[in-house]
Amino acid sequence: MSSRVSRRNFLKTSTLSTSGLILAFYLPGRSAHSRTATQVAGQPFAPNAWLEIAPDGAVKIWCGKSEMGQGVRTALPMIVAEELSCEWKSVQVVQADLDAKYGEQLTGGSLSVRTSYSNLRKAGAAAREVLLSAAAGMWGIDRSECRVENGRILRVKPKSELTFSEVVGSAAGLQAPTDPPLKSPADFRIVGHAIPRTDTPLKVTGVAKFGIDVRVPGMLAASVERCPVYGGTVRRCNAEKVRSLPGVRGVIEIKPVHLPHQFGDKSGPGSRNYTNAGVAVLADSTWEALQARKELQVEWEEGAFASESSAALREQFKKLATGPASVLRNDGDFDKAYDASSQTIEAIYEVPFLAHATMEPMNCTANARNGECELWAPTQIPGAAAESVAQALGIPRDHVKVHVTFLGGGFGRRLIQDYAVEAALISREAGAPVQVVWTREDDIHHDFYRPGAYHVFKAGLDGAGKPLAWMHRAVSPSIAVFYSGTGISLGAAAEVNAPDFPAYCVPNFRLEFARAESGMPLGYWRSVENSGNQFAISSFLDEVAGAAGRDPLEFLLGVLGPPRRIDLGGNNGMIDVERRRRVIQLAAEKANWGKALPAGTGRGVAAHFGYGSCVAQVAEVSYDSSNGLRVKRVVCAIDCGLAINPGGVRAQMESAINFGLAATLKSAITYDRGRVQQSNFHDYEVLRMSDAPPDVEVHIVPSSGPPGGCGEPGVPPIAPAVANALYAATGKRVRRLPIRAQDLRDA
Amino acid sequence: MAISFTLNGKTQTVDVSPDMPLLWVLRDTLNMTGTKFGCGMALCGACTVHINGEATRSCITQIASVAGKKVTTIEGLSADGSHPVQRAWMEEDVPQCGYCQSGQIMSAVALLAKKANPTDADIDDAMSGNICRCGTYQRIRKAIHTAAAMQSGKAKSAD
Repeated sequence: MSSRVSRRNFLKTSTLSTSGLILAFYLPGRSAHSRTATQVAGQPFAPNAWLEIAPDGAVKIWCGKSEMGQGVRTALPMIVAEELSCEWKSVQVVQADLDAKYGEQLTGGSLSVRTSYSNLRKAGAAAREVLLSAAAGMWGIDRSECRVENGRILRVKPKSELTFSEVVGSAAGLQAPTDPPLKSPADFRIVGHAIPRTDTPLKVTGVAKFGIDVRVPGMLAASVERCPVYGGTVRRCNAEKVRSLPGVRGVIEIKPVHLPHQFGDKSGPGSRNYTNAGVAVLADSTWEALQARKELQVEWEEGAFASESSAALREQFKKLATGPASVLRNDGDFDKAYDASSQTIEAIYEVPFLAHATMEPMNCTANARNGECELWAPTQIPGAAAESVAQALGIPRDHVKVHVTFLGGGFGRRLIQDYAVEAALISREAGAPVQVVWTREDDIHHDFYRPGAYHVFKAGLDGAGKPLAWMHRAVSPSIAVFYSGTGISLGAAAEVNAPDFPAYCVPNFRLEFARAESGMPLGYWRSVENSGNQFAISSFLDEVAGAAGRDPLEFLLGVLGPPRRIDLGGNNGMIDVERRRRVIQLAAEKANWGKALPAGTGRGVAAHFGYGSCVAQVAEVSYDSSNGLRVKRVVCAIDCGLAINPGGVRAQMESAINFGLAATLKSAITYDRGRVQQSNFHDYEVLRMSDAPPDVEVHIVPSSGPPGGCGEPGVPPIAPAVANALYAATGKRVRRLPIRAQDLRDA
Repeated sequence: MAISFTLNGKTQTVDVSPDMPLLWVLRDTLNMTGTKFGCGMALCGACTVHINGEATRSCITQIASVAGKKVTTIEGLSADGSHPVQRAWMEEDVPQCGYCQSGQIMSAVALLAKKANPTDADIDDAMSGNICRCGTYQRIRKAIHTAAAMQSGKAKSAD
């Protein structure tokens, strides 16, 4: 639901949530970019920042968000092209550099389509209106006598047409309207259709340039040895010796920098978002830098975190699970209702820390000279990269230029700009452009991790097996406190959300949060708190269904309650129970819920409502002692309102399912003496082809509602769907992730 | 030390340390960035190239061992993306972030050279060394079957 959007980290600042302000950035004619008065014949027609039409009719559309696989380089230009009414095949997509004219370029929170849809429609429509006016002028007729369709301006009587290229020259002198009429969705030819990605040809030929592929003349390569304990510093190192080795172009110490908050919030007292202390070794090539770095000997001042371990944190979790906690929501009287219940159920769920492990390791290329800095960054927030680097270098923000490359995965890791600050500091010290490439070990050791968590649940049923009482206490470190400090509100710090299902569905409902102290660096991992919470919530709900002796699907649909819409007010959006019900029923229907399965096979269901969308998944798994747990099939249904590109929505669901399965079956980060214990893909395991379910189906609920987010909502349901399916198959309830073979053998 | 090998059909001579991995010779010495760095330990497959037709992890292959051999990278599969595997990848719209895809494609091409009609189990065996974090596995599998069909169709018409 969109309450997540406004409450959680991304839309705390009104600039992001008020479409009116975003509109202002693109307004045609407002800035020097319109070029209407001074356009020269033969120049492209550029009514606003988003598009240009060349004299030959070719259309260039800028993508203002970072492409990290989620498909914005296709979906966003589709919106512009639709209203412009050009031929899709005439469109060439260009990645936007950091520039205020593109408005908010932060990419995350499953927000790109949601926050761009309206503005991009207007951008395309404004251009279309100008072309219409130009054509009408050329024909000497009224604008109402012609229309644009598929790259042509059509005149009804007498029947004639002009191509864009024939009109572009005349369009140059005309002012674009600020509030153009928009097409009726019934007339959409591009939006709503499964269009192949614009970047696929680049990505199957090795041509697509990621951050790590950037080459700048005179560039040095740098590899950084960072303190193995977060927050530690360099005590001493053999810089002189390494500096003198053949091929070494420099050895530079970088001190930790307190990063400005990546979303523009305040990083107040108690915030711990620092870059890592380290020693950079520079060489002419990456390999030489990697080799020379092996000669470094660094003594570290490890700092307080060296006394911490994930095992000790778990002990802290257990203590916090029983003591006092902050109450986020308190409907009815849980204690009274629980005591009066016919049947009670309790359970504890746990999830580990997780690394992002994007396929492209962190990297950044920087050229910091003479009070300026140019960055080539695979970043999710070019504006934050500029701000962070400006502060670190002590230069004005508008002296920092940011080129956004393709990102080899983001998943929230590249929201944090530490890699940009490192590269800028090293470049300035080196007096040359520098590319810092992280090894996979660097990447796994120096992530900003999805926090581990401990969840306590209690539920009570009435005599008819209906849930009367529900208590959930979440215990974990707080991502928001890590970035914003200890002065923030409870609601902002909590890693659970008051409006989350089954809120509004169980009459006596209490939600609590206890914040654990941990020195681990924390960050946003695709679907953030929902990634772990939904495993706990939807698995426990399944347990409660089992205790009631009821079918889990029927129980889940029953808990949803009667058809109704709950207005959460302000920017928080609306809960539409029918949307939730429909998506669960669709997934169940397509999964043949209820149809008999062979022994040792089971189905499980789970849903997540958030990011403006509703997603339900049914997993079908098998378990036997020789093959272990196999996920055979996942059926996913999504209601994301209007699907801009159904092909892209399908891809995002497939992606989320596989990504979530890695966390379900494989991945865990642990730490001891302040050091992350995993280092590469042999001990930080992720999903491989042989683990991937052979059968993944995605069904999109037809809708003309406002577009909802698709990047994240597919992740939370998969872990509980699999755990619930495993229970159905074996009677074994798993309450910790990842699901390990030894947990199953003890069945 | 000067080491010569054939790269995508052309002779290349590089003067680098003999223990430099082929991956870095390709990426940094020759500026062929289609082959990717993902782990440095042959665990992820992003660096997969062909050496004398065999799928090989270039991150752990020392350049000295490549002397006199034929290396094919993603750039060498075709001039224009027209290799059947590339076409199949386009037809199924496989890539998302795309970073792993050079390696995936090179592994798939090598598989199809050995098994013209691989089963799903063959695909698991051949492709499980190539990690995709974006989760394109189901589409990769489908694209391999599509490419197999394209290639066997081609073989038929050549008879």
